[in-house]
Amino acid sequence: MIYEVIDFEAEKEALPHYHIALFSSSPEPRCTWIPNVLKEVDIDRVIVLGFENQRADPIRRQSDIYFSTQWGAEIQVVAYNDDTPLYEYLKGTGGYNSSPIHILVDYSCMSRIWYAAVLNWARHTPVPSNIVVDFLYAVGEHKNNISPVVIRDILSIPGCEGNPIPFSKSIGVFGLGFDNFATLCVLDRLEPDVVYTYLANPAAFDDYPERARKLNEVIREEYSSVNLELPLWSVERTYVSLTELISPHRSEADIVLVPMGPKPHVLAAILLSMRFPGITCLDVSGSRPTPERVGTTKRMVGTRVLFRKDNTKRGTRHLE
Amino acid sequence: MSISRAKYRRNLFELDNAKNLSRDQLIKTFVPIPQFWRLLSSKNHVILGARGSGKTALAKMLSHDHLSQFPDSCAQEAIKAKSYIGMYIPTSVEWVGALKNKPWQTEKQAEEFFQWRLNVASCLAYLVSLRSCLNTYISDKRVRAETEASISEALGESWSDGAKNFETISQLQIYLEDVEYDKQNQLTRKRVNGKLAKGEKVVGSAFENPLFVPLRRGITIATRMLELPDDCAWLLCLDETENLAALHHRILNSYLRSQTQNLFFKITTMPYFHEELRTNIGPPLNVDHDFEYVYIDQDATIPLGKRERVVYSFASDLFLKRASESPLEYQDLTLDRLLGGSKLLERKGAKWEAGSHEMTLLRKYASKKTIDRAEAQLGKGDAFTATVSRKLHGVLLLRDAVANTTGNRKLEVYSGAKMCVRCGDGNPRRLIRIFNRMLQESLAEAPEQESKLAVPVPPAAQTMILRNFSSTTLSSVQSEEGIGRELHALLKQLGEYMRHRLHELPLTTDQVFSIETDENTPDDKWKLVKSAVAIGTLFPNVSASNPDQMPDRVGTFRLAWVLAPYFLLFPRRGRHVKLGTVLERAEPLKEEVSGPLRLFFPEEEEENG
Repeated sequence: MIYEVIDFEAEKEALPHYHIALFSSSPEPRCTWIPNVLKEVDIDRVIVLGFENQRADPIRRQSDIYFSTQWGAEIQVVAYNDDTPLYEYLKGTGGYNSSPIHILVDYSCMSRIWYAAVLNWARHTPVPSNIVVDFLYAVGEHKNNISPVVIRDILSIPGCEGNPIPFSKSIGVFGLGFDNFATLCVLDRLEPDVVYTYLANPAAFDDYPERARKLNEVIREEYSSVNLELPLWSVERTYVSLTELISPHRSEADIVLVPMGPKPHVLAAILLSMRFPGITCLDVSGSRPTPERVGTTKRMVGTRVLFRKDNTKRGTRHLE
Repeated sequence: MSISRAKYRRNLFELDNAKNLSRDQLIKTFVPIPQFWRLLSSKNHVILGARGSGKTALAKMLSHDHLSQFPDSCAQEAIKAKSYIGMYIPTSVEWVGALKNKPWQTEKQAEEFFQWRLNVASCLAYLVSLRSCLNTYISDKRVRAETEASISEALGESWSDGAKNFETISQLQIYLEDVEYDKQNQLTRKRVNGKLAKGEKVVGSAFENPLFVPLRRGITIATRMLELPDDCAWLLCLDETENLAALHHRILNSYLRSQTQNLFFKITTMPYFHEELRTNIGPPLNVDHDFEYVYIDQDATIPLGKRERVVYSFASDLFLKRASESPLEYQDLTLDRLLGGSKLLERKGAKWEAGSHEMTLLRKYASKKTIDRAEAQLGKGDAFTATVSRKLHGVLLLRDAVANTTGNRKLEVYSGAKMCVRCGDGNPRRLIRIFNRMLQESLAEAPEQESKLAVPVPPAAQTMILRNFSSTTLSSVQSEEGIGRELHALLKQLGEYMRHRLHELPLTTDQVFSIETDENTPDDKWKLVKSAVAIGTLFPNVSASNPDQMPDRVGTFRLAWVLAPYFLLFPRRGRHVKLGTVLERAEPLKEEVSGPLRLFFPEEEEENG
């Protein structure tokens, strides 16, 4: 049971001893930034995941070398939509006697299926210890005029299937970013009765909110009844705000979350779907002609998710 | 957190899909097309239509709870005679998303899981129709309640393996929803831990039966307790099956091939998305024997000359029905009053005589051959109309308007009720979106009053709306699943080619607005053409003799008229040119996100008209 979702500042706080840390190697230069910052942190076991279809990319290769030389870790090659290996890696973690078990996940460049697997493991593992998962995100710098993403697949994030038997009203909650055409395509296919949107504000840069507003003008002005602006820096606040947004509809509608914006907002949507039955969270995967080289702004978003095994029901501190 | 609310209050024009309408709203605003009545029959049908063509409305309206409320004599006759009981199941993106997110399943596991979920979904759909049957066929409340209790008890016995007792349909519905949710959770737990907990039972084992066995049990019980006639046909409307994978279609096909009895299927999908005809039991499905196609994007049985009137009448009815169910300011508003006449599509007041404005334009823009021919025909009445004025009137006005649009002078020619309907391609979703934008503009233009009434939208504003809508439609293609980039490039090449011929070469009486594919069309391009048809950016010119058959590689396709304002084209089928010709002449397109029109074609000689 997800007990608590709170923000924390990884660079200012004393970090715990982690039993396991999950990093990823990717064509985005920012994938090594957080591991570099955390070099002194005490970690028992490091797992580095790498997308199976990007192995030849030069930046990915450099990152592979970094993880191999600096962390002594071999890259575990995994398909973007496969969570099977994650459960294998996490199985051993149940053997720790200490409570809570601490897990670190740098999800800056990860498939959402992978970090959802960590959450699913924490929800369903029979280990008696409480579990704390610290999620870290390196805030990225996205160039102007990136080429439009082509949708590869739309599927439910495992553990976020909800209860999609749409005989009643349906509500689509769209997290907005810079992929406006893909968002419109998904909207066209989902056809929800009611549309809500949310985008990041404050965001990585001052001009990003206006850029997202302009790009998503059609969905915001013509389809959406409520447009939220939520801070990129706080998964906790985003989680609470989205909870408040959908709460009145939980007993009367099928709710589908489509997070297409920055990853902290994706994480908030996944947590919401896992916390409340009947809410679907979709993963819209896509590709570009050339991978976007997302650099780092050297700022971090930290989110701590606490799972308690004593069946105490609590969503976040603020939901009490 | 900050919140901004949309400018205008919600109304029925903002709900552009049948899924978005409540039952009563859909029934009140439903405009049946001729194909709808074909579907009300004891046959298996696969309904083909581009995105937004109204497939969901048709499928939903066939379900008993909708049809029983539809005030139409044919519908009421069918309901009264207990001839058909329709059930509606959407295989929506989110429903299929929970099938596709298990790549670790073996094919057998995936098949079994699909069957399990479809069994649950079909029972839920059945319950909706069962409630409607009870309300329709049993007027005495006490008898109705007793019958509901008896049926619920019998169904519960069967669907929960006798583990639970049910007295109402609502209890059964909640049970089925919980079964679906618990099953997904149990699968995740099993994945995490490698096995189920000691003593944990498999959720919903009653639905592990072969496909539709639980539904059939329900049909048997309802037939007995509601005293339905032996020839009552149960119509299972499976909507949005374009989302299903080939293995799912094979399972459905196997069922269609072997044992439909009094259960008939109405399957909706997009053109070229029903290509899996194989079954798991040997012979593949046989078109016309096992099922028939029904193509709804256009009705080729209506003569071409009358088709525009039929589409306009459909769009007009759609507008009026929505307006009558919408806020006060739309009452009594008609399309003509809101949008006025179309300068390009209506030839009112045109004077084709020596020295007239029309003849001046002809001399300015047409080829020498065309001018000579026109002059030779001038004064010959119908012959001149058929060969010159009908073909050239709008085209000349469009070309002149575009040539004279500079600086502050705004383009106004994409305007008028007929133009808006034509640019909607007869596609209900497009039409409603266009109507909605026009209405928003109308309300914005209206003077501030206590009671705001919609006022006519100026032609320049209409043109801007249609051009923006056209541009967004084209741009969104870039993200279409799998083929977006290539399809967007192809559509741009086609549109640019046609635009170049219309605006930069001397005009002839035959303008190219369609393409032709043949056996030599490369596989990758044919795949793009099929995708374009599926999403409604190309439309096949189907024949009246075989109106439901999609062209198989050899065919002609017109560019969707929704794209005409973006490329500054005249929305007309026009003449066709080979796809290969367009591709050969076009320069490769550079990667671009958006931007103004560019020229891609070198100077070329006039083609003989």
